[in-house]
Parts: sequence; C-alpha cells; structure tokens
Amino acid sequence: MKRNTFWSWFWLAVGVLYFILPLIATFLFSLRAKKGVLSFLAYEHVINDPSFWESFLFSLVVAVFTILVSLLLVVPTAYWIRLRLPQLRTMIEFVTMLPFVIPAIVLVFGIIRVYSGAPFHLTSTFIGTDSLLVAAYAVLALPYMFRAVDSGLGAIDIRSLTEAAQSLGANWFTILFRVIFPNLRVAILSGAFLTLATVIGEFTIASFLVGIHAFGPYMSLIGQNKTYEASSLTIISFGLTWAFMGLLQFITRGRAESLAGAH
Amino acid sequence: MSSKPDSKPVENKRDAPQARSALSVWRDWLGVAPFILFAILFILLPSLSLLFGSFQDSKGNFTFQNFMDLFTPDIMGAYWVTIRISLVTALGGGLLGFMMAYGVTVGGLPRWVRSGLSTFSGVASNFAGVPLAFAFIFTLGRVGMVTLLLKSLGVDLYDKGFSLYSFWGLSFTYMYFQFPLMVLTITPALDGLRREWREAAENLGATNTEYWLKVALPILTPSILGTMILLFGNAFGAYATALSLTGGFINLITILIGSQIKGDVLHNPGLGYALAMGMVIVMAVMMTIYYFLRRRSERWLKQ
Amino acid sequence: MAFEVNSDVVKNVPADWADLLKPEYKGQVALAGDPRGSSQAQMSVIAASLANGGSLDNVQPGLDFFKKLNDAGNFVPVIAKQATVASGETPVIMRWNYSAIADKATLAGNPNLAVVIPKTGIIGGVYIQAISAYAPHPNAAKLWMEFMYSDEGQSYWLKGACYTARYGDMVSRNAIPADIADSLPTVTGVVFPSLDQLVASGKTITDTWMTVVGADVK
Repeated sequence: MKRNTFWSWFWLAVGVLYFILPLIATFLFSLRAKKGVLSFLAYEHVINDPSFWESFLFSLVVAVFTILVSLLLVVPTAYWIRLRLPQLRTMIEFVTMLPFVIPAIVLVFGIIRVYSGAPFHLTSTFIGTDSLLVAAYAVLALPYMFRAVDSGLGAIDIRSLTEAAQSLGANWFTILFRVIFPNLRVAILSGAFLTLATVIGEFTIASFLVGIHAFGPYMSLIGQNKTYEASSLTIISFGLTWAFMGLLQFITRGRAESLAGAH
Repeated sequence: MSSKPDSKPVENKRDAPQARSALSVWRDWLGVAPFILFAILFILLPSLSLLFGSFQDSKGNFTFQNFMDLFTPDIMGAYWVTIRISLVTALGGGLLGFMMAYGVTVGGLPRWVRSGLSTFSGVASNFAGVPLAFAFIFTLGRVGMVTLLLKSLGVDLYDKGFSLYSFWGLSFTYMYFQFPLMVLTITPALDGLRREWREAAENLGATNTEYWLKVALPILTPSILGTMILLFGNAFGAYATALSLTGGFINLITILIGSQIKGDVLHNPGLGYALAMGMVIVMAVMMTIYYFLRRRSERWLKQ
Repeated sequence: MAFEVNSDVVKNVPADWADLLKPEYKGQVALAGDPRGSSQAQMSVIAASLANGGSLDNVQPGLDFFKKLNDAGNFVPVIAKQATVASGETPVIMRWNYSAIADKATLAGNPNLAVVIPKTGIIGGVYIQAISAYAPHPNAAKLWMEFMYSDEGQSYWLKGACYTARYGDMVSRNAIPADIADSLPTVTGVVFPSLDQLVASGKTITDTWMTVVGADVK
C-alpha cells in the first residue's frame, strides 16, 4: 500500500540529528587530547586506568545481582497474581508504580536513614552497602521489570502450562523454574537489559552509597578533574551500552522493544 | 494486560472440596510474600523514615517548621520550575517521540530503521547526568560545535539571547533522554493499531484527520497518558543532569535536596526531607490525575 | 583563591577583580560552584567583597560585584570545571589555587593555563578534619589523623600545592624537601575568615544571591 513516507523520514531525520550531534561534538572534543593533533590519547588514558575497569566491572556485577533479585521477586509475583490472586493486581501495580513517585535521591536517603543505624548497621561493611545498592536498584527497576514480565505472561497461556506441569507431577518450584521462566525469555531479557543500562550509568544512588566504586560516580569524578578523558569516557560508555543493547536485539530478533514497558 | 480469572471455578470442581483449604490460601499468599516483604523493607520503610525525618529539626524534636519553611518564595519557586520543566519535557519529548515512533510503525519506514531506533532509544534513554551535560556543552555551549558552526554561517546564537544555561537549554538537554523513552513505550501501542481499523474507517469515508481524531487517538490515549506521566516523573526526579549542566543556578527541587543533605554549606536535613515529601506529594497528585484520566479514556474504549 | 585562566583563549590574563568587569571578558567568567551550596563559590564572593571595599563581616560588596558582572554579561551561570575551562566555555574561573595548579599540571599545556592570585581580595580557606562521634572505629580514624599531621603526611599536602597546618614548624626544622619547597607558590596578604564570619557571610549569600545577583535560571 502506497504511503507517503516523507513526514516519517522528516521526523526521523530530526530525531537522528538531535541524537547524533552531541555525540559527534563529544567525540571530536575527545580527540583533542594532544595539542594541535587529533589522536586517541584520551581513550588510551581511560583504557589504561585501572579504576575504569574496576568501577565498570563493579557496576556490571551490581547490575547482574539486581537483575537476578528483581527477577526472583517479580516473576513469581506476576505469575501468582495471574493464576491465583487476581484481586491483588491493583495493589501490586500500585506498588510497582511507587518507584516513579519516589525520586532516586529521596529513596537513597530513606534507605540510608533506615539501614545505617540500629539495628541493621548495614552501612558499616562493604557487603552491607553493596546489598543496599542492589536493593535500591531493584526498587528502581521494579516498574520496568514488572511491566515486561507481565506483558510476557499475558502472551503465554500460563494456566494450561501450569496444569499440564502439575498433571505431570511437578511441584511449584519446578513449574516456576523449568516451565515459566524459560517461556518468558524474551520478556526477561528485555527487562534485564533496561535494568543493565540503568544501573551502569546511575549516579545519584551510587554516589551516596558507594562513591567512586561504581561507574556513574567514577564518570562524574573524571568529569570534574580530567577534560579529555571525560569526553572519551562518555563515548566509550555509550558504545559499550549500545553493544549490549545490540546484543539483545540480536538475541531476540527485534521483538525487544515490544516488551520494554509496554502498556 | 488485564487477566480474567476464568478457570478458577473449574479447578474448584476438579479438586476435592477440602483441598481448597486454608493451606492453599496460605500457599498463594506465600507466593507473593517475598515481593511484599521487599516492598515493605525498601519502599515503605525508607519513605516512612523520611516522613518522620521531615517532622524533626536538627536536634530531633518534633516540629512543623520544616513544612512551614517550604512555603517560602524560593522553595515554592523551585517546585514551580521543576514542575514546569517536567511538563515541558514530557510534552516536548512526548511529541517528538510519538512522531518518530509513528514513523517506524504506521509510517512505513523500513525494518532496519526500526530496530536501529529501538536499540538507540534503549541506550539514549539512560544517557543522562555528567556525560549528557558535557555533550550538550560541547555542542551548544558558547564555544560548542553547533554554536561555532552557526556563527560561521552568520548566526550568533548567544547574541540572540539563547543560552544553554537557561530553562530552555536545560529542557532541550532533558529531552535527550525523554523522547527515546517515549519511543520505547509508545511503539508497542502503535503496533496495536491494526491496519483493519484504518481500512474500515476509510471504507466508511473517514478522512485521515477523522481517523486520527475518532479512532486512533482515543485508542492510544491510555498509553500516551501513561507514558507522559512516566516522562514527567523522569524529569521531575532528575538530579545529575541538572547539577552537571547548570550546577545549582537553576532552582530545582532535587538540587535543593542534594545541597541540604550534602551539607557543604547548608545543613538542614529536616528541610531536605520535607522537600522530598513535597516531591512525593506532587508525584502522587500527578499519578492520581493520570489514573483518573486513564479511567475516563478506557471508558471510551469499552464503547 | 585564584583565577584559573585558559591563556590560549584569553590573551589578556586578568590580574585583579576589577579586570573581570572589562567587556573583553564577556561571557567568560564563571564560579566553580553554586554560591548557595558550595564553599568554594562562597569564598569567591567573600574575596570579591574584600577587593571592593567590603570586609570579612560585610559581604554585600561582593554580591554587588557579581551583580555588576552579571549585568555586564560577563558572568556565565554554569558550574565551571577543568573541562569547561579547557574547552573555552568558561575560560576565566575562580578556584582554590591548589586546584588550579593541579588542573594546569593535568592539562599539561593543552591548553595553557595561567594561575593568577589577584592583587586585592586575597582570601584563604581552611579545611578541618573531624572524627564522627558515631564512628565504629574511632581509633583507626585517630591513627589516620596522626599520619596526616606527621611530616610525611604533610609533605603530600605540600606536594599538592597546599599550605599545611604545620608548615611553619616544618620550615623552621628544614623538614621540607627542596623541590617541594620551591614549587610552593608564595602568597602574601592572605586573609582567613573565622568560622563565625564564614557562617554569617554564607547565610547572607545564600539568602540574597537570587535577589541581588539574579543569576538564576528561570
């Protein structure tokens, strides 16, 4: 069917221009590390900086834990609501919208206030603080994860699957982990990648809980003190995130965005 | 997204009547217990703690002073600016995002454009804070790439009164992560606009405009509203970007909270918590408006 | 407090506060912090006040100076960093001299930075250390303080171009290595505000910055 795609291309061009120009400007600036010469010196500095790798890996590990924790929380819950407790749906949906109502900076202060003192004393140890970080990120990721998983569950017939598994003698554990989870692969991946992108670059919560151990505050620190490395770091982190997202696209063959928070 | 509890009565007939006992009910609740526990521990408790903190002064005595302090022109102004910037970027980002999403779904752009766009949107929607602020300074700052380019073409942006370090400059920067978010969330909804509906409408003689006004937009409204609220909240809570770009010269609530609690010069955490409570209230109001509007638009759908 | 100037962009390096008002610096001068929340920025305002007829107890001339700077269009309402100086976005900023010297070393000529102590209005800031009463390991903290105030610890601060609390004592005992001693900038006429003066000035600045200077982004 013949459709005039002029306006579509127009708006796309506007959008692409808006996206690309700041990146180009940053990239050009990052090449100026050596005076008068265009070079990748700034990139070398970043890649040779052990703190870059430490903080990036730290945030990566935190992201992985966050994804695991939120999956373990969200999938059984979303599943149970559909199957057994539909009356709880409104309340659970309300809870998953709460992280929008509470901005990150508010959340981190609440968490610090509650868990740094008695009886938890969680901020006295690294493990404690890191766990708080994972918990905080799980809260932030909650709306996206829930929506992705919920849409995914809606697309498969969980009732038949459950009954079939039950009739074959499976217990709930088996049903969840060997039947439901694998069927939600696409939804889980999409939620997981959004979470990954969010956690890696996150600044507010990380800066108050773990400081420059995490990637976001590390980027901010470099931004304060090192001009050219800051811009090359921007490009590198953008590129890395893009690579991960591209990986997701490849794995899910293009159905990813349909689950990234679909209504 | 809504499920119907259909086969529950059937199950009841299959199981022995006593099997649907208290134990099963308990087990059902057990399934959602971890989630509830998590929500209590990490959402409810911190929020309550902040609520209590907002009623305390620096010595820990109960006081309403923090909330009274909220009503100073400075702080009221800050709330207003923050709300304004959130509204502007939600609408602006929403519009551009919608147009782009439209392009790749209904608008008939090729497949590869769509996957490229969604990957990019996934990345860009999280591109905020220091990197974004710097990127825009390098682009549209006084000696930014685009500024200099335009200057060489004879257009001096800053002479004309434009400044990146203004309300509109910050809004423009915010939209960088707002409109990808819009693209990501509205694309599936646009996908849901079945071609048959459009063809049916055309069959009945509807023009393009009529189709949009009477068929497409009403169907899309719940999703559009939902995403706008998402965008609003996103901008409302943004901290790192504003701090890095205008560094406190723009009176945003998140920045005020940060200054109070960081304590470099000011140190009134009670006020910080009260400010935070104010934010929660504003967001709660917006969510209520959203639910109200959504109910109304869903009523259209049911017809 | 010093001026950190990108001398590749700014040919005429300003020597004093009054120079900043000149039209050649249009859109070039910035603070390295938000005066309502950053100690460094507030001290800049106090220093400007000293240079313009004010005193440590009267910070109003400083606020008026920034108002003039803003009205002239010289003031850029952005928090300046090394990157904004280097890119030419904010080529003239007010920064603690040790930070400026560090920036100069980091950038290593790309671009060239000039660190200028203004002729008038020379203010010094102090940093203090404290141990929290709720500290889980106060004795470890005390050991750290011991190290910081030992000769070896102090020499690290000196390497970073900061004057240390025990500077005078170390000089009298010739305890500073020659290369570090030479690299320390010599500044005379530095004024140190007291804590009370800082608090009072800080409050004035925080309360009236918006109304007096009006460099607010609406």
